[in-house]
Amino acid sequence: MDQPTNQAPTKANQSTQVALDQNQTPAPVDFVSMVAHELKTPLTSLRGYLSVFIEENAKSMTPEQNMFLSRMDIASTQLSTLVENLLNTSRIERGVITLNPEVVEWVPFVKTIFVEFENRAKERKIELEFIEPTTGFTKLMVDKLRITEVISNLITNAITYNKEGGKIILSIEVKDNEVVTHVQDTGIGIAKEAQGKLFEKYYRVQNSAAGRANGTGLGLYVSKVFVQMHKGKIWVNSESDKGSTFSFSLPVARDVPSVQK
Amino acid sequence: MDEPTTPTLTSNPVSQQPSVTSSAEPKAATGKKVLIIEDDVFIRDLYEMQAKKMGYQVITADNGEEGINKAKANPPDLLLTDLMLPKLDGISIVKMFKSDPTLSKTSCLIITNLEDATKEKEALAVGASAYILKIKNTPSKVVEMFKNYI
Ligand SMILES: Nc1ncnc2c1ncn2[C@@H]1O[C@H](COP(=O)(O)OP(=O)(O)OP(=O)(O)O)[C@@H](O)[C@H]1O
Ligand SMILES: [Mg+2]
Repeated sequence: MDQPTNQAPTKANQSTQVALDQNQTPAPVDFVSMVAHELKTPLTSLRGYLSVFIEENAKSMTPEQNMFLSRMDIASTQLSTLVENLLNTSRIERGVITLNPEVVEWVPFVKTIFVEFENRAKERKIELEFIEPTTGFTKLMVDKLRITEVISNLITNAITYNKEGGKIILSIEVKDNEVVTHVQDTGIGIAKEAQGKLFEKYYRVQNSAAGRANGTGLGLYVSKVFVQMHKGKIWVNSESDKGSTFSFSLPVARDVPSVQK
Repeated sequence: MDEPTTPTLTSNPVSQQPSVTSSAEPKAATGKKVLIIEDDVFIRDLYEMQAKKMGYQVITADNGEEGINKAKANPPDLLLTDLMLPKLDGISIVKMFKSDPTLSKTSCLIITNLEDATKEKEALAVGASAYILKIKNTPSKVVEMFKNYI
């Protein structure tokens, strides 16, 4: 039998003679997520070979060669993000998202994600700054994969909609029962009228400044759903032409491991 | 059967020509046998090359049946298997490992792009030690995990 998944089947010619578990009820899979899932296979190879190549050769390459590889790496990361956002949107629509929460030490977790954006920030001469809280309880109960998508989407936006030579400050604010993470940029900002719609599916601001950036308008939608699933909130403060701060709160895991579905 | 020597891996393997066929370099992981079952040849080669660079002895198979046969003939210290495979899927392979006296102690790692909590639970329930997402982990990272399971 085929694999018992609600994802796309990828092996067309699985043989039938081996008895597998039959407790499967494949949920209907839409075309978009089937395609998105298929894209992961070549993308995994591409990113795998690229990462090994960069690890092994970065030191001996010319600056131009390094730049070429760095851009290939960035482009393949963008493609991965797009694929993940498509898959996540489809999962949300089909109601098949479940959380896999675990206890996470928030500060190092966020920092690790943040530093991975150094190359992309450098491309646009954007400075990254990370501000850690000095005290407080920062253990959270989160689904690492989902929350990584949230943080990555916010940082990606802060780079995409920033100005060349701008800055991004990621700061973590610890409150009694929650931790608030802020991603602040010095970018194009968002007009008041648009701010209420940002988290809607497919919504993108139509203006000349944002117009040049590609996107599907799914990043913030997915982020909002994931944050809400964790019993948190996500919001924005922004001023046109000055910059934006996207923030989200998550409950601390002191007494609430009740994060489910 | 397992010596306590674990490979000391750094996150940045020394540059070296990928040599699929050459015998393993004398690294810390020398001698440890890893069976990789993966039907995508690009991915399989990638993990094979990385594991060899880290000093593992590598056996490969491109489907479940072949993998099980090779494991029985030459029991590995670690199994890295894809989830969706022709002939026998990753979960069934792990089950067979766990029910075979000569293989039951071998750690089994599932590697897949299927992000599915139900599948993951099922895999862990039948005895897999880890459920790893391919696209989220560089090949070096994956191979670096081996030492935790041998
Ligand atoms: N930091 C920001 N500064 C200014 N505008 C932003 C910022 N973040 C988001 N926006 C606006 O909100 C819109 C929606 O963002 P969202 O991340 O959901 O989609 P996207 O970036 O267009 O596409 P993608 O799905 O690839 O993320 C963007 O098109 C942009 O107009
Ligand atoms: Mg976006």
